[in-house]
Amino acid sequence: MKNQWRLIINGTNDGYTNMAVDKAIMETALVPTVRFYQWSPPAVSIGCFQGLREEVVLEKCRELGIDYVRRITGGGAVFHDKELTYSISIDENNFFIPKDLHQSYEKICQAVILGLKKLGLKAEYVPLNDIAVNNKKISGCAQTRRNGKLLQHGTLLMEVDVEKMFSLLKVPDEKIKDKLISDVKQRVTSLKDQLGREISYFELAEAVKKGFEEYFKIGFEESQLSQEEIILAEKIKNEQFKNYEWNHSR
Amino acid sequence: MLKKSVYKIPGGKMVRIGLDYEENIIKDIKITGDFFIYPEEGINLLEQGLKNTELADVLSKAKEIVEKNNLLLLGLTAEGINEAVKLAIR
Repeated sequence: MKNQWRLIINGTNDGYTNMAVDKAIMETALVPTVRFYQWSPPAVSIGCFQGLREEVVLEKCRELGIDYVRRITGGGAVFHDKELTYSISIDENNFFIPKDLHQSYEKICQAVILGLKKLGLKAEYVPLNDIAVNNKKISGCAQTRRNGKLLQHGTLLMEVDVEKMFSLLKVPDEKIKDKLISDVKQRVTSLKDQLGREISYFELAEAVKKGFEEYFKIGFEESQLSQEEIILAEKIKNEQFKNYEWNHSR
Repeated sequence: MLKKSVYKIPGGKMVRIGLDYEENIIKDIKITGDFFIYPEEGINLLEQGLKNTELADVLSKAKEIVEKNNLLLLGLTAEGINEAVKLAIR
């Protein structure tokens, strides 16, 4: 009999809610839980070790109505727009999860890679935390472990607007911004670019779902957030992710 | 004296240093970037631990903090922090 994991296919939420829900599931879920979600309005999330003003053009975000939020995971600044975001919350000691961090990053990425294979894409894992197709990055992720639980969340770019991204994210040297934009266009890709067609969120979700099922040899039971998770997420959203002190803490 | 630097660690991530020092002793240091530290509280241990450290001792002190607290750094190294500090004071 296959292990049963839980799958939550959410729609769009604002960045604060998305981060709060991931944390709430991490803290309370008794069963390994995978969640898919999208962002509305578009948002920038930064890693927990990043300086907000060092990485994000706050004025531009406000002008365009784009939220910005600090994650509880490390890693870089990400502009979330047309993408499927996945998260997995699982006990650190779960049989499927290597103790070694590098290996656990890779294993979870391999499940996503298998999902992309369902769409006909040949993707590869690029250590530490990227997935590439034709040597171009299509997905990044970040992991945290606390109190015996692991949370890894990552993006799958459905479409990418590099110019818009660079209007919101700061570059170390403004003088080389044009070169950087051109460079990033060579190094970042999207499902639309690679498939040569648009892909819907639900088609992508179905493929990634199958990737996880096949890779981990598990079955998913689709469900919704529990009342406990909804209440906890609301609390976490207000106390942490919407909190000025948290977002501006570095 | 307040100084800053940005340093791409070879084979790693980007580290930014915000440094306040007087007579070659660190009064305050901020270490930011797109790296990973486990547990995440380790960043505070590094920043607090490097206060009152002589600039010449940053590498050994950073290594000591990492070892003493069993920190796992991904994309960040004590050598990288040291190089970024050296860049800041240049």
